[in-house]
Amino acid sequence: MDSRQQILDSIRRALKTPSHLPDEAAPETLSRALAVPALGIEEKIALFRNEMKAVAGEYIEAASAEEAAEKIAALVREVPAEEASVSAGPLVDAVSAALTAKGIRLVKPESLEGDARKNTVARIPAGIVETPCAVADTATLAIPLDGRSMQPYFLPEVVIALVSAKNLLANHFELFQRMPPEERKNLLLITGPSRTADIEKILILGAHGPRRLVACLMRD
Amino acid sequence: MELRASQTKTYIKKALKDDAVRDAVDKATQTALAKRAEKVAIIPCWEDFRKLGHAAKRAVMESLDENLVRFETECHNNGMKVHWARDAAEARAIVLGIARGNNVRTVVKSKSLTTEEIHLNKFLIDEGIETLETDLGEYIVQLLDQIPSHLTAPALHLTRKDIGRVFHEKLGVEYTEVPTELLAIARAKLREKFLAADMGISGVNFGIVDSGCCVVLENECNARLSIGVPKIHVAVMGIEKLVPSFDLLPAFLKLLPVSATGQKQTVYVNIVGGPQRPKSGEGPEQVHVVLLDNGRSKILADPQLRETLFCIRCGACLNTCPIYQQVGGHAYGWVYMGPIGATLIPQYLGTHEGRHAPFISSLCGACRQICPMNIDIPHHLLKLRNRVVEAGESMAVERAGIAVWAFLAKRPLLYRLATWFPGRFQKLLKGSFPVPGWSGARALGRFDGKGFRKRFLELEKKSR
Repeated sequence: MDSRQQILDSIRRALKTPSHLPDEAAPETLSRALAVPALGIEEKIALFRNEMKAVAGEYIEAASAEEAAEKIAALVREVPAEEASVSAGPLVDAVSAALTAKGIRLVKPESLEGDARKNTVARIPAGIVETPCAVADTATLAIPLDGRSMQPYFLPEVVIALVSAKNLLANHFELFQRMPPEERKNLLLITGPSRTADIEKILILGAHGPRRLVACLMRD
Repeated sequence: MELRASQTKTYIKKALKDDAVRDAVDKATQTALAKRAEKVAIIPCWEDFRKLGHAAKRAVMESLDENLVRFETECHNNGMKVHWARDAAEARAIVLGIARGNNVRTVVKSKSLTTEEIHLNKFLIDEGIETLETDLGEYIVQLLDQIPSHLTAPALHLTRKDIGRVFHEKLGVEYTEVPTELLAIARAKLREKFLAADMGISGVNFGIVDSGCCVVLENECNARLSIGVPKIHVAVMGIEKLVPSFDLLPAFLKLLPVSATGQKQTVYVNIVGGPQRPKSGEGPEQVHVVLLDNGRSKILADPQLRETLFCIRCGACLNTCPIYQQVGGHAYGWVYMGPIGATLIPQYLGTHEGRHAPFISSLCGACRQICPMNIDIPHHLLKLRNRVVEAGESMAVERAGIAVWAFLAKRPLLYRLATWFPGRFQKLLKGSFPVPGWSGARALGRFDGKGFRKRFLELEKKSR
């Protein structure tokens, strides 16, 4: 008999003894009580902004692609850097031309392969990415691994993430309800810059991933 | 460093004499408790999340066989390979087989207690495969050849000076005790390893039954780098780590970080549902899930103790435990420590090797109060104490004491005489009644006043 069968048989024997734990409500009933709160767009933006600051992230807003490009270019220069790796997507596409015009060289990881790709993205200290949706309750960016290069999201030291205001969701219950099943199966959730408190519980930003995460909310 | 649960008394004595460790543990646990309390206070419906977590875990566990088969099918459908391991040796052999089959020479690992449980690192290193822990705390304890002393904060027992010394000695860098500089050293050393590694190994916090996905929570980005850069990803998962569905996952994504680190959400939540390289040209082209039993199905057989399998390894019960706060994690002698560890040790290792563990508790109930999964840890500790006694593994002096008490309790006259005598004797003493190993540090209450029998008779008279 193979190990799989032995383990399953052992579990089945164990489960012949019914549980002696007290009765409790079904999880589905309990989860209904934790429903998605009805929040207006401004409430969601305010919540997202506050939570982003609470997790040591940074928050900026832009009313147009031009304004976003201006603010992002200033952030990239502050790193300091003259180039940035970029993720694929319509929000990044919308700011790309203006960023290039401002002298920021954009590197698309998809144009490179294998070792060249990861080594290049790791070398460039800034990344400009976009997030298809975000959770206001925790300031979490949700990125499905849908074929785009994920490396600009976690290899650079400074990551600037474009978020569309209309794609803000209230909480994780709403996120998993709204997201198509195939998309949520491979998903990266990011909440703030990487960190550690492994030395005497002292919080230090920038453990193995980005030390700065700036969310740029696009109001349009 | 090989620890033995049966040697826990020696470790406790050693820990109690080590003021530096006690200070470090005390400071770290108090900080963790304060941060958790701060978050619990602002999260609406915290108690409802706890109830949901317990009910969801119970639902999975009550039909674990069916849920594992469903999880396996969904993983296969997602292009992942599922392996089943009855014990630690089989799990190690599976991982080695994957490594050998792909000419793996270097492995980066993210923090996983399950892989600590099966001693995977040492095994792979002995087989000639460079295996590096990448979580900062784990990296430090690996350099020291120690095991983690806390479920979520592996180097909690060490000071910045200890870490500075080990980096200087083992990595050949100039001594520093500045935390940011220490992190920068580790980051630089490990970044090159991440980019060059052939295989990444992770644990699994939650396996989603209805979707065949593995969920890995972390803050440092080392799990992301271990999962998302090498060509092979191996996830080692205890069979109890399943949760029913994406619909219920938000409860666990809240319960674990709040309880573990006082965060509303960990920085990274990695949801892995298949190989990425074919789609994106990066990340793993193979994803393997190793399902580990290693005694878990035996624990499931007990209708009450099976609740100990609901544990999500947050470490909150360690932080709040007055015993853990004094002795730290190594005193327990195994990879799972603190109150929940004290329930798991005799169940995994047997009542002989784990005979002391259920007694390393004051039974104050703080662990149950804080447990995000509402596990009745004190009750389970009592049950396991009972099991240890029934197995004849309790201490001879304890057995003799109980036998004497039982003999006297059945003979009222002798009992009265036996309880009268110490009372009279204590009157002659100025201080505490001398009990070797006990009264040196404690004030034992005096019992030379009115005894229970006398008071009871008086009360009885009054009530007539």
